[in-house]
Order: sequence, then C-alpha cells, then structure tokens
Amino acid sequence: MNFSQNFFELFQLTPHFDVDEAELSERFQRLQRRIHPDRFVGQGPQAERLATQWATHINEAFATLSDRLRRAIYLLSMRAIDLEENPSLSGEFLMEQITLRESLDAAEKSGDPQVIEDFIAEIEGDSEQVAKAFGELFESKAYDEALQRVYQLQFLKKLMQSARAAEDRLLGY
Amino acid sequence: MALIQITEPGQAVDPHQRKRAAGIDLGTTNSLIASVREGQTETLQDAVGNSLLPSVVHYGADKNGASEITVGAAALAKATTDPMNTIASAKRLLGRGLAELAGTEAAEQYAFVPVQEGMVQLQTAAGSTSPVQVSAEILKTLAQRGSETLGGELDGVVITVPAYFDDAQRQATRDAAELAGLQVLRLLNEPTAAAVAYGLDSGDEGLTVIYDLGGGTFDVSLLRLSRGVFEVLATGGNASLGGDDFDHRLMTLMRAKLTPDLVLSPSLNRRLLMQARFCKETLSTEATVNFELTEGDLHLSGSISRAEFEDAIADLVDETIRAARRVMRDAGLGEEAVDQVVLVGGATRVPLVRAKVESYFGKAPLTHIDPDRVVALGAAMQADVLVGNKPDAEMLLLDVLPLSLGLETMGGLVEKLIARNTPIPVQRAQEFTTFKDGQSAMLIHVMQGEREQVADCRSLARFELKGIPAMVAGAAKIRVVFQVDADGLLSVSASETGTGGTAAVVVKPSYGLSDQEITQMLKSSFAHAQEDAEARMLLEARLDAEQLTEALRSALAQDGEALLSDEVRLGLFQEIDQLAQIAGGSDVALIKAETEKLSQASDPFAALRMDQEVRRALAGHTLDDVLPVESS
Repeated sequence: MNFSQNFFELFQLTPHFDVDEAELSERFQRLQRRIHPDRFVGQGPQAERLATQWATHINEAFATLSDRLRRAIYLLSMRAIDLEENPSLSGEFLMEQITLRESLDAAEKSGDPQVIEDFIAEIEGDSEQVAKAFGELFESKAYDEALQRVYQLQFLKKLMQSARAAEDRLLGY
Repeated sequence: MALIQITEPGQAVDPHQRKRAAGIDLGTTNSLIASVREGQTETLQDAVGNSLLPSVVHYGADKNGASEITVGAAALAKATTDPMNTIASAKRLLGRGLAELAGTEAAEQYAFVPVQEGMVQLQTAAGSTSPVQVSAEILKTLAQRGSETLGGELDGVVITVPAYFDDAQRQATRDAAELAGLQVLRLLNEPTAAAVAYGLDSGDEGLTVIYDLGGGTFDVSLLRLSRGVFEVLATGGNASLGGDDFDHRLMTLMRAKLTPDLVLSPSLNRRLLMQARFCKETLSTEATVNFELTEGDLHLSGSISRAEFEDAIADLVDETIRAARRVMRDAGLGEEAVDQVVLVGGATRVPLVRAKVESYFGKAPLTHIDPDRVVALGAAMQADVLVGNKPDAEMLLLDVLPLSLGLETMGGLVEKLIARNTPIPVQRAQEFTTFKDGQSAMLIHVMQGEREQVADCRSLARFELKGIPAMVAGAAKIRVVFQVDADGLLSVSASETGTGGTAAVVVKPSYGLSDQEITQMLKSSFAHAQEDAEARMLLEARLDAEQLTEALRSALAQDGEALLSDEVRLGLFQEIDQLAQIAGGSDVALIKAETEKLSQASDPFAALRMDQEVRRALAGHTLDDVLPVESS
C-alpha cells in the first residue's frame, strides 16, 4: 500500500503548525468512513488486513496532527530536523522546572485534588504559551529556536503526566 | 479470501439476498439476542415469549452417567437444589485465573479445579468445564433461537463486551463464540452499542455519556455523536462491579439481621441470595421489604428498608461516579459539556444510582429504551450494517483501547506502549536492547493496566525471544510491535532487527485457548459431531474459492484497466479460470493451496484499490473527482 504521502498530504492540509481542528476531524472521519475495517467485514482476511493497516495509518496520522507536541515534532522532522536525546536547555528554564516539580510535590502532599487540578491548569497555560511561540518561530523559519520550544513542551508534558499520576494516587484510581 | 468489494452509494440490497444477522448481549445475569427485521430492531423471544435468557448453565448427569446440559430458566430453577453444578455469572470468570478469584463469592460458590496457570476450570457433575464453555452454551442457545426466528443459520453476529474488558476477557469471549460455531462480525463495546441504539433512535447529536451498570460489570463511556459517527472519546469502569455486588451486600445485611452465627447450607445460601435479588428489585419502588426463608424446622424472617440498603451500597455507587469523573478528566471536558446521559443495565433501576448520576452530571438521565435490551438492540443495528444489508449506512463506530498496554522492564516496572483511550485499530513499536554481553534470549512480558508496577497490572502473555546473535550488551536491537485490531484484540510480535532479524514471535494472551484446544473442543461438541467433517471442509474450500474468484472478477471489471498493466490483468484472469476449474474437483488441499496462491497474486491489486479508496474519500463523493493514479 502507498503510505508515502506525509500526514498533511493525507488529510489534504497545508503543513502549518496552526491546524483547523474541526476541519482535521471532519477529514479524518471522511477517510475512516471509507476505509475502516467495519466496511470490509466478511470480505475475507485480505480485505480486512489491508483495511486494518490503512485505518491504523490514518489513526496514527490523526493522532500526530491533533496533538500539538507531536505535530511540532512532525513538522520539524519534515524539515529533516530531529530531536537530540540530551538537549542542552537554558539554566533559567531548568530552574523553573525544578520549582514546578517542587510545587507539584507540595500539591500532592496537601492531599487536596483541587490543588493538583489548579497546578495542572497552570501547566496547561504554560504549554499553550510555549506552543504559540513554537508556531511563530516555525513559520518564520527559525527552526533552531523552534526546536528549543519543543524540548520545553516535552518537559511540560512529562510534568503534566506526573501531575496526572499524582492525582490518580490521590483519588485512588 | 475475497478481494475488496466496494459498494457504491445508492446500490440497494436485493431483499432475497438480505443476510441473517444478529446482535448478542452476553450478559452476566441475562443474555439477549436481537435482530433488524423489515426495518424494525427487536429482541427475539423464546417459545414462551421471553427475551431474557438467564445466563445460567446447569451441568448434570443422567442415570447412565451421560452429561446433561441445560441453559437458561430451566438451569436457574436448579440453582437452589444443585448449586455446585449450576453455573451463573460465568462472565465474571472469563479470562480470569485462580489466584485472581481467590476470596471472591465465586470461589465460595463453585468447585474450582486446581490448575497451575491459565483460566479457571469448574468441577461439575458433567466433568470439568471452563467459563468459555459455559459462555459457548449460552451463545449456542441464543443462536438457535435466532436461526429459528429468522428462518435459517445466522450469517454473522455482533457480540457485545464490557468496554472495560481487558484483552484476556475479550479473547475468551471470541473463543466462546468460535466454540459455539458463530461467525463473529465484530466484538462491540456495550456502551457503544447502547449509544448506537439511542443515537439512531433519536437522531440526537452531541456529547453523550453512557453509564452502564450491569449484573457484574460497570462501564462508563463518553462519546461524540455527529452525522452517524459514534466517536468514543474516553472510557472507564470496573470489570468486576455490578448489580451482583448489590445483591451480595444486601445478603450480608440480611444474614446479620437473621442469626449472625448461623452457618447456612450451600442451598440455603443460594436461596438467600435469590431473596436478596428480589428485595433489591422491590426496594426500587417500595420503602421497605419483608423476606423469609424456611428449611426444615428453620424459619427465618426479617425486613430491610431502602435507607439501610442504600447505606450498604453507597460506597459502590460512589466508586462508579469516581470512574465517571475520571472519564471526563481523560477527555479533558467538564460535566457541564455533556448533552445527554443514558442509563444502561438492570442495576441502574436502583434509585440511589439514578440520584447520584443525576446529581453528578446535573441533568436527568435518559432511560426510555429498556435498559436491559438497549445493548442487544444497538448490537443488532451494527450487525445489520456489518453483514452488508445496508450499503448506504452512514454509521461509523470509532472506538478506543480501554486499558493501557505495555511491557515489563527492569526493576519490575511497566513501560507503556499504548495509552488507554487511544483510538483503535492502532499499532505501536518500541525498541529494546540486551543488558548482558552475549545475551541470546530476552523475556517479553506483555502487561495491561494503568499502574507503574508489574504486580499491579494484568499479565497478558509472557514469551521468550530466542536466537539473538551474540553481541556486546546494548548492541542488539529488539523491536516489539503491538497491534490492536478493530475488535480491541492485541497481537504482539518481536524480532531482532540489528542483524537483519531472525527470530520473530506472535503471541496470544496466556488466558486464551490455543487453536488446538479450540479444535479439540469443537470436535467433541455436539453441534459438530454429527456433521461429515470432510464434506464440510470441501464445501467451505469451494465457497472460499468461489468468493475470491467472483470478487476478483468484479474488481477487475471495475478497476482492472485503470490500475493494472494488460499483462498483470490478463495473468490474473488466467489464474481465476484455473482456480475455478480446480474448485470443481474434490481435492480440498489443492483448492485451498490455489485459493491462497490467487489471493497472494491479487494482493498488490487489492492494495492499489484500497489506496484508491483513500484518495476518493477526500476527493468528494463522485467518481469523476478521482485523483490521477500513482503507482506504489
């Protein structure tokens, strides 16, 4: 099968960081309507296998483009810019991260889920800011600086996951 | 092995070609079968007019020691007189091992066969049986009802499972269907089925929460409904929480009210449990209920108020609300965003459940479709579409993985490969490496669950990847691939990729049955014993060959000239003729081999047509808009 198109081509969207989510979702559904394995039930293993492969690919493409961090990484990879495993980050940013980690620990120790909720909302706000900055840098082709924002988004995402896990522990999920 | 059949919009199905399809709700307490007939979706009834089949199977032995299996109401009637041989709520045992069930009511109720690993086995008067076999008996009974009502063998069924079922439980359900000789079109999540029934009935759109509290399982799903698309945004629940637990809580309360020190016989215990169920149902409408039990000289009686009952179950109901809150959080949405809340499952008749759901979501839940039937009805609608009776249907169900999948890594930790609530089908791969010089094998332990520690997650499968070439630590690259299909079923493969990849394994979960076990069970089962196996095999081989040649001919007529060179196209026509000739003979092995050969030869063509479908999807609905064909 031909998976050579990039994800933006697959959805017939122009490769920008700002994606019209409603439009993306609508095109995703139009593709799945045609290609979801449900359309090929009972037509033998060949049809079901091929449809499953395509539907998997479309799900992957949709997941990539609908998540801002994954979309950012994907856009950079289209420009042959790959992430380093151990990037060097500014001391200022790292200090901020340490402070945020400490406030997460404090939030968990408080035993109040609302405190963690507020913390999550704060991180979400920060991530939005960084993502916005990435979008502007990327469009102005400042790829090195855009890459730095991706690293920051990764940090914030990990922090968010830790906050969710702390919330899970607190709520006994 | 058919090629892709693409039905163009507007093409109606000849009424004589309508296929017999049904939806089956294989429940903990009751099971149902439903079907779409003349545009109406309805549950099918037995000879005396009952839709609900109690999910109970009795294993007895006649005077000569031959086993006698009864299913449904007749089996339920034996529950109090012969409790050990009357298996109820087998769904709670599906895909479960002995250790997991230790200390549960089931462990007290039945005689488990002491097995080392795998799924539990139950000792009965008719020999040992497994939850898969018990479920297969229920499925067979329903399928027979279906074929009697619909006038012939079923062409396909959709079977529902709790959304929160893990892989082992899904696999066990699939195995039960195979054992019952059913053609499964799809395993469908129960809340999704309920959403289909409500969505197609009302045409309502927007964010819908399905709160499904059944006899033994609890699911809560959030879906977005728009123009025939049912998109699951998040799902959660508890695969072992349900109305049964309310019964047991009530039973404990009743025992305490009677004589606390009294040791009850197994049969009296079962009767008390049945009384508890009756009291629970009565308390849905009455403020108090009286109960009594007699056995020999023993006369016991007492009364329970609704307040006492609600007090006893409050923490269980709170747990379901907590799960609902987590689902909303996973979807990143607040309760106020929800447009409608739907109640499904018999246990949602309990007033406390309704009150707590209403108070959490801030709106009165919908109950206008019978909560006992709604899942089977939705499944029937999906089955009707999947079997091909509605080529025009705009319906599309997009479901998710309910529980994260991962692998055990160093230090007893779980590394997640696919997070919960990821849309399916999905595939993810991860590379691992060796940690010792010259290491030639690697243990791959597949886990399901949300927690970080291996001990807190479900072990699905454990296998060893052997034949890794000797290298220094960290040099070998082991690629593990997880694929979850549209039924939510997982397959895992692993290979060493650094040196070109030699060893590769594909696994089924440890709790599933092996293909040999299924074949063995099929052979010994009543349904297939009377058939001439060889004649059946020839018939099936011929049908497969015919299906492939016909589909390929029509595909070639449609797209052959556009997508293939003359040489390839004519070559395929030749192979079709050859297979058609061979299929006229009676050499089963040869027919199968030639069918497989033609299937492989036509694979690139099938892939090209699939690519074309993708291009058409966004090119608009008319064929004139098709983009120029690229070769792959």
